[in-house]
Order: sequence, then structure tokens, then C-alpha cells
Amino acid sequence: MPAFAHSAEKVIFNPSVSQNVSEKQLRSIFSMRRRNWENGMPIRVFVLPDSHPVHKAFCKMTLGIFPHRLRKTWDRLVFTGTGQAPEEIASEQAMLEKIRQTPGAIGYISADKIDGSVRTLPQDKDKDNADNQ
Amino acid sequence: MQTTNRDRVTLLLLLVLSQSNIAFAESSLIRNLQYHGFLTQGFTYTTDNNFFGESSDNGSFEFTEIGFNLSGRILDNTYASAQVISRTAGEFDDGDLKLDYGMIDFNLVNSEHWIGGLRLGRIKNPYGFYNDSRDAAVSRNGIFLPQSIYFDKVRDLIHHSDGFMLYADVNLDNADLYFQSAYGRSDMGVNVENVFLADDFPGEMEDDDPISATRLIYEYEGGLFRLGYTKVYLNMAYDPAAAFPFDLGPGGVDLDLDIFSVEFNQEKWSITAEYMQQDIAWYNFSIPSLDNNDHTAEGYYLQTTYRPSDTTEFFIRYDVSHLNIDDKDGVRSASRPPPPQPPPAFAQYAYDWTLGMRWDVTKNLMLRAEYHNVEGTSWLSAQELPFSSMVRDWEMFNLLVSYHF
Repeated sequence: MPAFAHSAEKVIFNPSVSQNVSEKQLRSIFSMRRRNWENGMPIRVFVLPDSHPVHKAFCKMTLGIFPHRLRKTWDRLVFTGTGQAPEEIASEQAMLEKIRQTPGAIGYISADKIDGSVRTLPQDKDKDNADNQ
Repeated sequence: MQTTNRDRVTLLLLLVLSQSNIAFAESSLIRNLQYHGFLTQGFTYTTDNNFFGESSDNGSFEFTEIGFNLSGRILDNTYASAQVISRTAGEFDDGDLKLDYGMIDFNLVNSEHWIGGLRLGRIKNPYGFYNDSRDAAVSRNGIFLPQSIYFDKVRDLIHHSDGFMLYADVNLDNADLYFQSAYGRSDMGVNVENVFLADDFPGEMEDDDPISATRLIYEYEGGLFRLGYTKVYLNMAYDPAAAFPFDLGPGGVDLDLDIFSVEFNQEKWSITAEYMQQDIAWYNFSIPSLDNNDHTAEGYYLQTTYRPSDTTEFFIRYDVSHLNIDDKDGVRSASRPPPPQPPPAFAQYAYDWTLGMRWDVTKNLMLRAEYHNVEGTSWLSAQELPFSSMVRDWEMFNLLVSYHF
């Protein structure tokens, strides 16, 4: 099982996104390089502010990228015209709401804040089930 | 000059409007519309010599960068982006409004393991780690990029291509590969002539000369370790002016350039080094001193950056430039018989120790301060100060404030 399945921060999707993603695909999605889901639908990436503890933990534990590297990548894309910045959301509550409302959306929040309105990765569910047993 | 002021005002208005959120509503033609921009002001003081204006008198404020860009999605897999800039940089740039880049991006492959496509339009050239993002202060590794590789005095030469670019991002298990190859026309100008022909002669370097720039970057584990290789070919053709008292001849200059880049990143530390080698060949000029001048230039730097907190950064950099690797101390070049009077030996090299700091005051506001201790003047331009007035050992202090969004 990949390392990211064990983190306290979980990737969440709008229910319109039916595919699963590997760890390396997550890295390329949050680096804003991969821009479409496999079915062609545009990916909408939402992130918490750089200084948010959940953002920092998500970058390091799930993506395996230092937050300062990710910020540099986004700045480069934005100022070379080769990509866009992710949309920044102030809080985890607002993140959950935004992911629920936006087709093609992907984001992340603490595992204990997730409700049934968004989709998570199946590995995460397995892990949760295993924890409950 | 008046046009320039108007350009700057237009661009500033655009920045203000974009911040008020009324100017750009989401349209149905372009979805996911985003706008970004920057406003940067630098101050340069030098003990001797001039860089970015008459910096040795009371210091110079002739370093202003204003930029604004838009990007959006035209079709599900087709994107458009454009940036305009006004750049004032001493004698190098006068603040005229320019299209920095403007392209359409066709994302043709979007598979599990790789993403690829084609960009058409004006594209910033992939060159080392920094050329393509060099005009936004927030994306530089200092107030100025290392001058041995990212010469500001001939910035236009390799800055962008008007043409096309192929790109591919390959996701390996523990790493990513980024390939970009641009081919197009390069933008020449007075600055380029000054450097390569040693003066601004009548007639000009053609502005439709071909350039190709290809870069491969290997990034291990999200950037713990990055390796890059860049190859650039460039041909400049000189179109002589008929009425000039002596004919330079319809010559040309070929550049063949390699850059090796490497970077290690930790949470609090980064170490970056790049090495550039540039083969320069002149041909078909009627002046033997130009035609027999083929040589190889090199530049390299090592920079260590320390981040004690999320908002502060300190760095130390050693940057070395040799305009001719067979004449590193410049003695041979300086002993060439005039005319033209050869530049002094120390204009053939530069050794620059830099200490710098960066403070991100807010998410949008960045301050930088730097101290340079330099021996040699190879990256200074005779446009800003004649060679005869240049001094070998000099120091430079810089401040920069940049607002970006």
C-alpha cells in the first residue's frame, strides 16, 4: 500500500471524478502539470494556504514534496505561461464545500473532517475499515 | 519616452483593475480564466562601474518590471496564455510595453504515465533552471540571476522563440522527467550587437534568426534532487548598412551552448549549481579580427540557500564568468593591437561573491537585499560605461521590492 494512504490528510474528489489516481499522478496533478482526468474532464485543483498546517503535512506526507518546492513550481508555471496556479481556499470547511460543488475538483482535508458528500480513494477506505475492525 | 510612460500607466491600470475583481469576469469562451501580475522596483548602488543605470553616482532606480498575464482554457485540452511586460533596466531596456509570451497549448497526450503536447506562439525559451521565469522577481534566485549564465546585457538573445515548442512530462515511479524543445525566431537588438560586434554599427543583426532550445530535467522524489541539461543553437546574421565607411561584410555569428544544472533540496536548505559552455563562431566578416575570433565562453555558479522560516531566506553565491576559456585572465585579448582599442584584461572575466536575503512580508509582497563583491567586469556593458572608465575591483549593493499576485 502506498505511503500516502496512511496519512492523516486525505485526498478528496468531487463525485463526478470516478477514476482512481496513483501517488505519482497525485504529484503531477498538484504540481499543476496534469490538467485533465482520463475521461477528458478538466481537473480543478484546490489547495489550502501555504502556511496552513494541513497543507504542509499534505505536501510532505502525501505528495512527498516540500511546500516551498511546490510554491516555486506554481510560480514558474504562472509566469512562464505554461500552466495555472491552483485555487486557494482559506479553510478545511470551505475546501469540503468547494470540492462538493465543483465538477472535476480535487483537494485534501484532515481525515476526520470528511463526510459522504465527497469521494475518497478506495485505499483510504480500506485503511479506515481496517482501523475500525 | 512618452510612449513608455503611457505604456507603464496602461499596465499599472490593468494591475489595479485586476485587483478590484471587476475587469475579468468568467466568460464562456475562455473558462478557468486566471490573471497574475507583478510590480518590481530595484535599487542598485555600485562603488565603481555602472549596472542597471548610473549606479555609481548616487545609486540607480532604473530597474522596474511590470507584468500582467492572463491564462485560460479554450477547449477541454487547449489552453491560451499571454503576458505583457514593461521592463526598465538601465541602458538595456527602456520600459516599452512588450509581449513577453503569448501561446496556445494543445495538450495532445494525457495518459497515465505521461503528458505531452505542442505550444504555438511566442514562448520563453527553456534555458537552464531560470530563463523562462526570469522576469518575475519571485521566480529568480536573487535580485539578479547569476550573470555568468543569464546575462542581462544580452537578455533578448535567448529570451524567447517565436515559433513552436514540443513538451512531455513523464511520470516515473520515484521521479519525473520534463522535456521541452522550442524552435523559432529569436529577437535581436542593439544590446546583442554591442556584445558580439563590440559596437552598435549601422546595419543590424536580423531579428528573424533561428534559435532552438531544448531542455531535459530529471526530478527525483518531488525535487529532492534535480538534474538538468540544456542545448541551444542560435544563428545571427548581420545585415550591413550600405553607406557605412567600412564594410563589415554580410557576416554571421553561430552560438552553440550547453548548460548542466543540478540542485539538491531539503526543507531548510537548497544547493544549486549550473555550468554553461558557449561556443561562438564568426564567419564572413571582412574584418579579420572579427572573423578569426572563434572561441568558447563559460560561466558557472554555486549557490547555497538557507530557509530559517517559511518567510525568510539567506543565500551565498559564487559566480564565475570567463568570456574565453583559452584566455581566462584576459591578457591575450587586452594585448590585441588597435583599432579598435581592445577592452582591458579584466573585462574578459568576473568573479562575483554574493550574499543575499529574501523576506516574504506577506503572500504577495517580497523584499530582497544583496551585497556583491566582484573582480572583473565581463557581464557589464560598454553601453552603460565605456571600457576605459571601468574598474576591476568593485562592490554592489541592491534592494528590491516586488508585489505579485
